[in-house]
Amino acid sequence: MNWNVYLPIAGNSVNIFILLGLGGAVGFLSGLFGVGGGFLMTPLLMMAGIPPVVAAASDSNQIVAASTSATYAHYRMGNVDFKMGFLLLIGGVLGGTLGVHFIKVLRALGNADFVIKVTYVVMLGVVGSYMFLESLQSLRKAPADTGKVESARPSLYVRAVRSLPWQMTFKKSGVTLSPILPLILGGIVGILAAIMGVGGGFIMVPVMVYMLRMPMHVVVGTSLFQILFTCVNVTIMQAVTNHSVDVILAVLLLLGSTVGAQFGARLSQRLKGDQLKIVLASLVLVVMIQMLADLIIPPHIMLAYKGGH
Amino acid sequence: MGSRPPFIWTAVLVALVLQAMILSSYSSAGPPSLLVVPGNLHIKESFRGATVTVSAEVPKGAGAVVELKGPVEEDHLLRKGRRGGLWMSVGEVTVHEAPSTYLLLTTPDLPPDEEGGPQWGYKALERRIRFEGSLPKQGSEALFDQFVKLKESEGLYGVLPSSLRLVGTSGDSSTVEGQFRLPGNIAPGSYRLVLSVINSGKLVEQQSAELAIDMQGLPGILFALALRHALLYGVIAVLVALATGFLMGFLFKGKGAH
Repeated sequence: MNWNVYLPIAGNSVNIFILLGLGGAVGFLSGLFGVGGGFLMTPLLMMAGIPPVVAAASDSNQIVAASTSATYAHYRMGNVDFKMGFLLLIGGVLGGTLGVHFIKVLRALGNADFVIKVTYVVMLGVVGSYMFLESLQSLRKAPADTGKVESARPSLYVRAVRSLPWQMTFKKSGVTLSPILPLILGGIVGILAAIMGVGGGFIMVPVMVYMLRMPMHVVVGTSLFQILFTCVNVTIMQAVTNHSVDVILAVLLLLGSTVGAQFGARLSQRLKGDQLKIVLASLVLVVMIQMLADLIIPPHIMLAYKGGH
Repeated sequence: MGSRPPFIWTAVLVALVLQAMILSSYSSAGPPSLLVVPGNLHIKESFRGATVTVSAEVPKGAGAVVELKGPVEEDHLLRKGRRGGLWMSVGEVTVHEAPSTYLLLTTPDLPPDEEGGPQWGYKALERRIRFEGSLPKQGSEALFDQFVKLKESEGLYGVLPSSLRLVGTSGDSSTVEGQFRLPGNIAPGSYRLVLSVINSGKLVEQQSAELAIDMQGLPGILFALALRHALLYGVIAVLVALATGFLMGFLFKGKGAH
């Protein structure tokens, strides 16, 4: 029996179960951690024979479905902070636009690839290591610290955040801070995401946890809500400018990812915040090591097709 | 004068006999006849590549080569190199005059790629292809090898020596047959098959045939929509994704809520 399906925009034929499986696995991680999964899916699709530019664009399309499904699941659980999400989104769009121009300048100077690769490895390494160590510490301390009252003086960062104007309460997240902070942080993530060519979920999640001090479960739902809007924009832009969105590929991936995202969202509800963080940190570190290996080990073929991440 | 007509008639008769002998010998050795099956390929929903069989009648004892050439196109590639001890893309290279696909079958007696030979194989291809842009210090020769490696990794380039088999002999001619395995990523377009007949190291005859590959059914409709109505296509892609996401979320509603 022929289980292959022809993908007209990718111009290739791929086994249907490989695509459903890939979608399911990445969708599961998306629902679990609140990341889009683009940093995992695009390289996996390229390994399956999809051209880089089509892999990146079609992945954005399938993330729209996975994040819709997962945002809906998290919304029902009360895990989406829409107010915070919109502020981060506005910052992200502005930062992303700035980042795209920055990359154009770098490309003209001929240093773009070096900056992209090094930013990727450094960001993944810093975020992954910090999150891993911090979660490990929290998990070890947790039983001993029960009942302890936090008496330490607020850190410089906390004092700086409190000194910002227009303080407002974000009920869902249980934090009070100035809207300037999520706008700035969203902007920084937007710049980094544009430089790296990804949605930025894996940077946004630690930013929400550590900089905005939001509870992990609300972080996951809110991050997914923001990713949904980003990917709608990217899908339409890619379809119009590059004609690189393969609907058949996206539909097969999203059939797997929407189901996977539901299971991921449910498991995320059962796990503790620190457990979630430590698993995400491990995943980020594995991807960082893989990228570092690609930078150090000489490639088998010294030419590659243009496009993709 | 009286003996002249019989002489003329004898000369005409001899000429006719000679001509008949020449024609009969030509038709039995025969001009090479290239047959391609199928002559058209349709890429549909479950397409995963195809096998194309070629057969040709060639003079007995002659060698043969069949090339399958895709449409010539420009390729935009990234060249990898080492910067600061790390491997990464160091520049863009544009490839001109390269066929999208190049597959070659030869009879066992022929080398797949005659050094300096003008007719076929990678050497002939190398003379035609031009590279522009960020070229390495070693020149475009190293780049050509890497280009072939890249294309071979996709199954689009390949040299298959001894893959044209002798399947029959009749009189002064032999029939050779071989198969091209076209990968699932073969692009639609007009492909050219060229048969070259080689005798004593010299090209004695060439013949070509066409192979048309087109996209039909749902892939064809979506491909046309993506190119001609890009915005509509993008909006449909987003709506399909949103609808599926909500549908899945709704289907899991009962089981998911806590």
